[in-house]
Amino acid sequence: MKIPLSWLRNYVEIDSPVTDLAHSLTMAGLEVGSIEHIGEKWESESLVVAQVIQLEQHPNADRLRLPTLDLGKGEKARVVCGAPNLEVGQKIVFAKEGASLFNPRSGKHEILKGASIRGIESKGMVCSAIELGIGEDNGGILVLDDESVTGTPIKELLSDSIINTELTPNRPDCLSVIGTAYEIAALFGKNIIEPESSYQSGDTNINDRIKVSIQDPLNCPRYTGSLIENITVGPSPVWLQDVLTKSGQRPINNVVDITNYVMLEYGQPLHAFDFNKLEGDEIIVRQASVSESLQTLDSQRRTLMPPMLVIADTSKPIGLAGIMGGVNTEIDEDTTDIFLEAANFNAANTRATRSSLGLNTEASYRFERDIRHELAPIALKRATYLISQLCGGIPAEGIIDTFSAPHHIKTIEITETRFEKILGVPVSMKDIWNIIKRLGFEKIEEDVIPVINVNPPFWRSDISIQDDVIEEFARIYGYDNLPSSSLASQIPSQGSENSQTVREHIRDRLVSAGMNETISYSITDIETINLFDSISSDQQPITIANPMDASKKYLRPTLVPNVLETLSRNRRTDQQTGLRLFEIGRVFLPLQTDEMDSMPIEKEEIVGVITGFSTSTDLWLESDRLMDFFDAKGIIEHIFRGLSGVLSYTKNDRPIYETGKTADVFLDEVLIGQIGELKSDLSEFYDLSASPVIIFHLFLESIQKAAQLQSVDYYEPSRYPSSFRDLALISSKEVDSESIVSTIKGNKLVADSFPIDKYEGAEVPDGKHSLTMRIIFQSNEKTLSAKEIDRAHVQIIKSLEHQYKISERYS
Amino acid sequence: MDKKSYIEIRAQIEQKALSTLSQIGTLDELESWRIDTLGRNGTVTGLLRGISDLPVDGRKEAGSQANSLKDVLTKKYEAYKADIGSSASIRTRNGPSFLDVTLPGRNIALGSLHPTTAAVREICRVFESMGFQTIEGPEVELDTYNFQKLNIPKEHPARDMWNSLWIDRELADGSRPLLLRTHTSPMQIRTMESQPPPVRVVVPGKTYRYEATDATHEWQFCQIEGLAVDKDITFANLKATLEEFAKRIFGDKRKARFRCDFFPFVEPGAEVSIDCFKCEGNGCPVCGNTGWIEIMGAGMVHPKVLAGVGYDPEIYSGFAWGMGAERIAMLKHGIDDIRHFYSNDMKFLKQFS
Repeated sequence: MKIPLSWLRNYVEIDSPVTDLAHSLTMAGLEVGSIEHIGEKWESESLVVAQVIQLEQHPNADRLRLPTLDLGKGEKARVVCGAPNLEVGQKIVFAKEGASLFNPRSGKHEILKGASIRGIESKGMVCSAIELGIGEDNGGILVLDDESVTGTPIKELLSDSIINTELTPNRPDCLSVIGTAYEIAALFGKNIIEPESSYQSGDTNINDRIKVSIQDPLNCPRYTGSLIENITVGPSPVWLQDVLTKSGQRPINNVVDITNYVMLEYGQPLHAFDFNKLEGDEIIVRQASVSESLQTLDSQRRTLMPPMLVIADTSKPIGLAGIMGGVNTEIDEDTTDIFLEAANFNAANTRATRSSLGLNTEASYRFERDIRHELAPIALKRATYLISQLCGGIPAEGIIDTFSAPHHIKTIEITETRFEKILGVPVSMKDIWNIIKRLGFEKIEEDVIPVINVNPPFWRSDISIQDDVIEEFARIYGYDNLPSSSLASQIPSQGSENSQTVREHIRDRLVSAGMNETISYSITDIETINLFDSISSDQQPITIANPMDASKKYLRPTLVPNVLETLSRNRRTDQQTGLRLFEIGRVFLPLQTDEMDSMPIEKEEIVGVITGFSTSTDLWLESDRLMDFFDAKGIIEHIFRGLSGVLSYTKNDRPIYETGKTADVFLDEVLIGQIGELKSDLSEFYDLSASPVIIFHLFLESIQKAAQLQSVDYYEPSRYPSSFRDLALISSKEVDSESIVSTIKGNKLVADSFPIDKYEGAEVPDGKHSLTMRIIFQSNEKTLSAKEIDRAHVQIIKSLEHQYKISERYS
Repeated sequence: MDKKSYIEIRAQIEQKALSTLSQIGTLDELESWRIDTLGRNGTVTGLLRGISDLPVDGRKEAGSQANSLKDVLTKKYEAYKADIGSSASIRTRNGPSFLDVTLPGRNIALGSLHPTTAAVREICRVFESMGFQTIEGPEVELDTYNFQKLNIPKEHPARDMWNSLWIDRELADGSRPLLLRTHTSPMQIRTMESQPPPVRVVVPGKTYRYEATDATHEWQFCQIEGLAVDKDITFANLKATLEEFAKRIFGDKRKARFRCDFFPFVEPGAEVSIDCFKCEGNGCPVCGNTGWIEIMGAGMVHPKVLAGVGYDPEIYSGFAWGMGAERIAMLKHGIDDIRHFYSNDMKFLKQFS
């Protein structure tokens, strides 16, 4: 809320600089987001109050006139002016040569220079609000109050600071100048000056002219009204226009301006109806009937329905309660009698109505934050007073006050013990009371004793329990002035959280394998879901009702396309480098249930992709090569080293991978994912066909079933030397290397064995290949003799021949 | 020749060939090495010929051994040939070989953690060292947990603080029961409902808001929640814990500042700022000229929230906080635009390797 300091000063003394004020308010919970300084650049010498004492027509221009101005201290000036609203006797702002003014044509501040305009010398000018930087262009010069003294520097008269408070939703009381003044009073130890609101009423009694009935007391706990007759609608006085402009409101006419002024002053929205446009002598507060409509003041015709609340006369709705009035009873220049409303409307219903109509107003903003009904008659009387003063009307005697759902302020018991329990420091009730009384709390007990009962100020709808009072004390005392002390309570037992440890192990291993972690958005589109066939056709993906982007309104059922998209985006800007990236994130699967509030299944997936050259910066050392299936497989093996469980791979074609170039990955007997080369149509789709894209797609939950962080079981390393033999084999391609290794390892003298070469060519028969195995022989008991190794070697060849019809290559 | 001496000869040939090879500096030298070992009259060829001198039962194995040696040496030869042919090592005909040591080393591919992950880990580690346990929760939440049990009833204006993305499901009364969680705070409830006090948890996780994206706002981001509940936990404990956090993350010199703020599930509520590490509190663009940088929201758990999960608020009290992981990462690394985090540009991500 924008609050001019000049306005605040009407209610509370402010003797600290505005920056200190803003800081104190911010620390106490009323964040001052910005401070606007008006007239900071005005110079006392060059901008002064002047009076128009004579007005001549410009001899050479129809639209220009030549005012003669009294600048005070016997000084006079004659200038050229084009403003149509200039009149003899007006007090205006005069800028002398050298003044810095805003030029709306250039959009910059410029130094005023003397000029000859159509043959007449003009040294200085009469200013408009826009040239001074304090308002909008209202089609003419700024006219000051008649009381302004000629010669007074404008800086003294009009300079101001406007603080812009950014309020939390619990403080509707501070959506007002007086509410903010109370905060300042509490923070700086000042008193509040209440504004004038007593007025002289006429002979008519309001109850003889109109009555109010509330048909929905739940949604309208209180309705107050006054009647003012014989008013004159016109522009507001300068001071009122000025204060509204600075507060961010556009002046309209005196009646409407006063209702806005009092709304900003007290935080209570008001509305004025043209009394003579009402049909019948009754105001009815009721729910709209089905399909009833109302043209609101913004000229929109709005179709209403229950439980939206309307203000109606005997025949029609005349206002949308707590949100906006109707055109049919709008104040216009012919209005002479007005009915003024200050009511209280239910917060939730106001919010529901304004959100379904998409109509957010200053009034609805306040009502939906739960303002107190006690404000209604206070604001009503204040506005009635101002209207009688400024619009020349006569208020009827009495006010309407229909108070259908009274509620009482709840008395709260506060104790020194609770304050200490929450704040962690003993506080005396005397200190507590000295702070909270300045906020408007009242106490029941005479004395200040360790336990007292207090009534919170009626305008504070946010205070209902003792801890609320503790916050009130603490924020005014200053959070920074309260002590700190380390946690001293017992640390709860924690147990081991396997899911995170395994996942973080995998994440670290992926990074150590040269993979870059990415995080993408959890949403996707229907084309992608179909392309990856990621949920069965009878299932609906989880859908967002109000998506940010209408095409991406589904929660992803698989992580693979997200990572491919990331890969593709990076490939677009970098055609050269090998790319290795991964993501660990949740996917969302629908539940097979009709319960609308059952939660979807969330599963964590690990997806890695690699493509392009395996190295990039060491091209000078050796020729590069494209990454392939075995690079990806190497990464998987790297991941699972350090986790329990044995990896194995089974060929199994899956839709997104190239046929024959994919496998299911198992950890012990559990299927934990797939690895494979992306199918060519998909790699084309993602613009990734320059080099093969290898994907691994793992399911964390399955991994957790099988794997744990391995607690390493130490074994004693053999003290005896090992020796190796290389064995070249001719084998059918059908036999996989894993089977051969496991046969070789079946020999008890073999410590390890692995393939070191694979060859296909002229010397090898069709359908077969040559595989060279290195066999490492070692015993824990002794140094093996050549004879023992020879014997084992022969046994191994025999077993291979027997099991897989594998023969030795050089036999 | 018997089998045993044959094996010894083979080993000698292998050793000699390899040691000679390691001395070689030029292609010419390599070629003469090839002729000496693998050529028509070379040692390995001789070894193969010698098989016929062996007793019959040992021939097969000896042949296999000799052939594998030939394979190994041939490969070495190819590798050396490629190596000498390349510009890697500069060798002279007669002098010792030397390297251009200023050429770059072999590249070891280095991966990187996403800066959000790195921030989450660093933050959680600080709290773990203070006895908090890291736990996680669902990203699709019930309105009950995301709002109602956190003292934010339906149609409460505080809901505007968390614009929500709702899941397309409706209950009989027309209300939507599910949404993408707007904060990690629902895990306060889930944790307390699942265990008696004492509680000390830290909860990282993705959160989502219906919010336009700009340099400081993302609709998806990672939040880190914390909660400590026990007998006698006070606002003074909240201050000390978060002051300690600020020092550990942003440096020993940092001061934390607490000001009143509002979140419906805490009372008193606070916003925590640190003095600007860039300008030492004097005012600069990083802190928006205020000298202070907001890092999180916090407060004492609201008695209604405690009562709602069956903890007696007369006996138990606690504090909670919530912060954005990306925000902390942005401050630490001087990242000026949050949109970098989810654009996943390698040029951005690799800076964190």
